[in-house]
Amino acid sequence: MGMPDSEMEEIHKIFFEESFEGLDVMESSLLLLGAQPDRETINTIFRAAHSIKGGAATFDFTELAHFTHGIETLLDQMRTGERTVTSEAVQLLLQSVDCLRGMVTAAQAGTAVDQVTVEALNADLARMLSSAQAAAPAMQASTASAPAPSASSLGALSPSASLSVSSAMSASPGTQAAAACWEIEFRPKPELLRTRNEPARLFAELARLGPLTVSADCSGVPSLATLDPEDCHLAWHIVLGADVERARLDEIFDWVSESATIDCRRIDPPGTIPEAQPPIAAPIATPIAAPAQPTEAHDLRLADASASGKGVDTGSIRVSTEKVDALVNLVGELVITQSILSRFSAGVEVDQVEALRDALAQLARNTRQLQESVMQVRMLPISFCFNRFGRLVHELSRRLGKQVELELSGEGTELDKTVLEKIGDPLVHLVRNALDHGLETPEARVAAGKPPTGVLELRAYHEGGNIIIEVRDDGAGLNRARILAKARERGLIAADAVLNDEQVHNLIFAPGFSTAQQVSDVSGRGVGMDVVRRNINGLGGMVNITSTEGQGSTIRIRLPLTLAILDGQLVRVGAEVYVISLVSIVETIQVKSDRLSAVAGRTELFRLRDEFLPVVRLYEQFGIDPDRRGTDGGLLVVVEADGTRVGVLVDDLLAQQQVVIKSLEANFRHVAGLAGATILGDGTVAPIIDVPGLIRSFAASQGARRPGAEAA
Amino acid sequence: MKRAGKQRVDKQRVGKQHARKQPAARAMRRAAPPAGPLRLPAALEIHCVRDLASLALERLAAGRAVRIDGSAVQSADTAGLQLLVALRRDALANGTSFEWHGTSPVLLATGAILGLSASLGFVEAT
Repeated sequence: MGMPDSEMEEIHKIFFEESFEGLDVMESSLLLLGAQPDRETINTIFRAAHSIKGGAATFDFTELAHFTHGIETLLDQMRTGERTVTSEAVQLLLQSVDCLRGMVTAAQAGTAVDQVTVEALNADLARMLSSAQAAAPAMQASTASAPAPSASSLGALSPSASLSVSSAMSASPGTQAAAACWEIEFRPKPELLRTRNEPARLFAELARLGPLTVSADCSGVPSLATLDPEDCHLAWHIVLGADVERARLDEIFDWVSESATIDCRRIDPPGTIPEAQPPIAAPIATPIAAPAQPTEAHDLRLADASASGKGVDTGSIRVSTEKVDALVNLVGELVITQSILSRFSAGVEVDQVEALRDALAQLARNTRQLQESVMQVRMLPISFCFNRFGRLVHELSRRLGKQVELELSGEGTELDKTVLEKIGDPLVHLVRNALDHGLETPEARVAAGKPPTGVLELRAYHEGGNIIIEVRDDGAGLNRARILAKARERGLIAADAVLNDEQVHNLIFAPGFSTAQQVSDVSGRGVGMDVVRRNINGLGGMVNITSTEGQGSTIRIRLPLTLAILDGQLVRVGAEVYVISLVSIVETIQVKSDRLSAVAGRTELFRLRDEFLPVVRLYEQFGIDPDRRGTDGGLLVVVEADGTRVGVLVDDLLAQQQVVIKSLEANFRHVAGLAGATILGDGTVAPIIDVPGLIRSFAASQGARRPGAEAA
Repeated sequence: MKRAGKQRVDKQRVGKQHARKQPAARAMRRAAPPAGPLRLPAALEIHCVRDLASLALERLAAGRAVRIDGSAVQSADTAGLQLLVALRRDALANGTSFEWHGTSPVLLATGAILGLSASLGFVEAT
């Protein structure tokens, strides 16, 4: 009967994945809803919430199920038109989505839920839900507007919770101005409690609807000696003083309908509600005081969480059937090709050479297609990453008092799952920066003759085997003078350095650089852009910025499509072949020794136009025998990393080709200056040069050498 | 299909929680010598009711007044309160007294919302 744990884990995993997807749908639809309320959108959100609730209940994530239930109720009221879609409600729902995401993440990781946030939101939801009871009689108004205790908030009742709540055992009938009420007989089956269904939670939920009196029937409780304490022997008689639809009650009892008999009777004539009983909702509810302040404070954190919280690696991937079919198809073709080729295993006659060549060409084609298709499996559209920005921009622009229109394009552009996961955080940082420092306030924009609403554009597109992501804003642009002043102040550049615009702009990626005049809570803590660049470099990508003062900035990120395959340039040094990533190569030039000069002992500099490049001799770095030790006739491959350019001296340039990266750490050990290795067509192993690492170790070796030279 | 899955999960979860909470319950037993009031755990919930029931039975068997300290209770559920209802009723039926030595707000509130305030002796039954 028991399901193996691993199987259960698999099912849980699917539930988590689907929940995250559902939450994303809810979030993007909610943003849409904020702009333009429409019934279909509400339905979409409702359906997503409903399936999360259903799954959570099935898998026994009780808190999650109950929290989602509140959201669902609110959505249901919107769906049926009982409630108008206010921006306040949308905001609350967005916060709830964040909270849910946190809860799902916690459930997935098996960690504790942020109870404070959950309870604050539960109270907010309850308050909003109860505010719908506009039709409730005036006498109950104070009750209705107070936040009712929610399922999970029972544990948070403060000591001021009034004791005046008495058991309804002593209920004496009285009169009240209520129009109608419900009498509910709730007789649980013994196993109710074992399924983690908690009557207290149900009653708390009922208390949200109106004044509630609960009387317990303890007659079924056996003596302690014979009591199975995990069985439920209690039954309840409940009177709910609220004129609600039967459906609302059914919804609340939905989760326990299988493990209890529930009998609801509507009592129409007024005067059946016991008067003497203070409604339970009021005294219990008051301690959960208005959480407005903490919620406000949570806002930014929530927005951040929503933007970066998706980084949880589920370790699995959902692949469209189409892609799998393509793979199966290709394997079929490969089998055919193999059978054609096997005909030649006995030997090839002269007249068969043409046929063999054709078959080999077909094999090459199959292999290439298979490689592409396999790569496709890991490819996900960048919309997975872009979609979160709608929310981020919405929250930040509100906070910063700016009007921003977010334009997305190329969301369908696909890139490797790993790259996609890792590019999220840097992009969040860039978008935040653009909103905080780039775009101006509406007043400043109007004063500058621009429309009050700024435009933030996120674009993704392919360019020559790479993917380009652009973050463009039409804000104030970078202030050249201020960057220069700051860079000099920080000692990042020499006081008399002459830099062109591009070099100045890219100074913002230097470590410890921040030009924000005011440090805000959104960005500008002096860290960031250098981290962004490091992260992007870590993915084998590049980042640069172009900016026009007064017109805006564009940050361009160039990323490889995948981390498994690299577009490489093969170079030869002596008998060795190395691979240099094409992305990091700026240009390649022939060395003329008259342009070389040695400074500071042995550091060689090569004059390239108006720039001096340090020359890295690969044979020195890796201790091998080159063709020539002189420089004439050699080639200098100009590479760039972290904003530093060096010339790498090689003997020859060979082919450019895609190489499959094999880890050196996994197969050998880490070697400074090498990012990995690949196997070439002839079976030899070619090390792949880690350009940033090479530059670092070169700089270190020069630094180590210099004091020695001085001493000599 | 779903329903079957649910039951299975429930059993597993309840089982696991049991395994986890056992040591705490044992510690609780040591910390409560039969002479003083029976101190209720912070989580008066279904996962510890079996242990609590055996402790309660010892108290009943001792024939002395049953004294309960509920001041540490941070969360409570129906199973926990149901046990107390049975304990109190059995104690009164035996002719011994049942006294509260401290009640936490959560305990009172949960009792109230479950309609058990009188059965637990939080308020005078009329």
